Amino acid sequence: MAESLPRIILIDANDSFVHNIKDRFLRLGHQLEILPYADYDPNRPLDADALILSPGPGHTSEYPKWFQLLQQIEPHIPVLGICLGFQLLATHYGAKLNPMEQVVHGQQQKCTQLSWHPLWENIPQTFTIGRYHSWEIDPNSLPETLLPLAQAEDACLMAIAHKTLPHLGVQFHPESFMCPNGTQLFKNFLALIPWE
Amino acid sequence: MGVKAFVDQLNQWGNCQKPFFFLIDFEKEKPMALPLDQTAAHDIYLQMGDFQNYSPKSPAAPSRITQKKVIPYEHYKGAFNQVQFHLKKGDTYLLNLTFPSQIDLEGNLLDVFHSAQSSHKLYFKGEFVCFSPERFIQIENNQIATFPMKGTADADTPAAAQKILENTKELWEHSTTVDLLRNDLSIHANHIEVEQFRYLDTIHTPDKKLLQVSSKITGQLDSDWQNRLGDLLWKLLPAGSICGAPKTKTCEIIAAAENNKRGYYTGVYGIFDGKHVYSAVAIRYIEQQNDLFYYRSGGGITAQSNCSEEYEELIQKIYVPAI
Repeated sequence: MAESLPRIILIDANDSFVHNIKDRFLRLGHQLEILPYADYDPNRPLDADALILSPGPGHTSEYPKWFQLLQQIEPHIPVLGICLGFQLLATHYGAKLNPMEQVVHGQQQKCTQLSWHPLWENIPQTFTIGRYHSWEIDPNSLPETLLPLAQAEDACLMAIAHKTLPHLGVQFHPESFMCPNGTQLFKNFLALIPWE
Repeated sequence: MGVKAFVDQLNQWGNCQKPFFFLIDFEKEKPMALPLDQTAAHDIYLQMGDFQNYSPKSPAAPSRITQKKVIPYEHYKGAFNQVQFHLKKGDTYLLNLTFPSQIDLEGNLLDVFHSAQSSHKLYFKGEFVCFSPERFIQIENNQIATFPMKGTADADTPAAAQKILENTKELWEHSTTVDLLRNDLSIHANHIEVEQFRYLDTIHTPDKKLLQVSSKITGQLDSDWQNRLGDLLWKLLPAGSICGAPKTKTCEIIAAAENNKRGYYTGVYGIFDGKHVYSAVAIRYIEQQNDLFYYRSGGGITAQSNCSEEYEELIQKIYVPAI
């Protein structure tokens, strides 16, 4: 029998990239449970060791159940938000979203780390990412509780971490083929899950 | 054929290695499948790579399209602007927008079928003919491969190959499609790899040569994939290259902007030969309604798209390939 592994649940905002995330985790020997957003019931606690909030279409205001989830979860459970999930985490902690003047879909760009974090273990200071988004975090709205971790070539905020809780978000898509360091990033996230 | 009956039938035929033909419409409402040896008797003619179920005939003259009555630009622009609204709002990252154009043809659909030069083509019961340059999936020896095609250019313009490969709008659109198709293969397969990224094919038409840009993505299936071939195909659809990403929301926007069901156009068709699967995306498609012929075409719209260029691409894709 395989060793027991942490239970990681990905909540899927009906996106078409979640199986790419699943494939990256499988390469690391971890299964992801994919829970469609529509099936998530905020009245039933999630029994998870870590959570991933998926990319997806639209605006964070269209996903009220995710805000309920973030209010309810045990604070020590690691959470990784990707794209829409990143925006959701940031707005949950008080940041504001702005529509972008030039939306960015399917673009490979350089990303530069702004401060050290375990998420960047074995990832170069400047690395290649894939971007898909039409909203961005207003950098002036970032609350004191959140640390900016990386920015893109156009200075758009690309990653954040909560200063005291294991809550992280990336605006780019680590699962994209345009992000060769994506598997390492997921590995670094796995290392944050308290597990014996 | 109902959806469940279709999926169950394919699972069963896959399990007992019975060769069959399948055809699935874009809306996934009227899938059909037949044993491969019964296709010709049902007025279905097919070429799929090396497989043919008909005797080639040389028509007196290659079929030509003599007149095109394309959707008016203002009408197209209305739909294009609707799509742009959703791109800016983040509801979609890429959307394939298509419309039918009424055409005049020399000959009938069967003449077009015989004269079209394409490694994949299908004539279906006097309803439509399709000569697709785009392979959908291929399964050989537990490896699944897909070949999304995104990007078309007139090969006769100066430095056409270099221009299309260096065009960033084309690159971004293609990259989105590659991530989408990686995702779709990952539903069933492991070890997904992008083996070839943006390679070029040349297509000959009576009037011009076209360049098409494609990629090859592969993955490994469990060895019992034939037992669930119906489920496997069903979950891959609609084909990512002809809808966009993310699929569910993008298909809702397509339905509203096109306001007309696509039917078998942009669906998929293919064969299971008892061991392997070969299939194509049903594009480059002429349908007959009463005495009138319609050619359906379109292209991928992104936030960087220019309306008049996309309209030109819709027109440029109206051709019958021939040497």
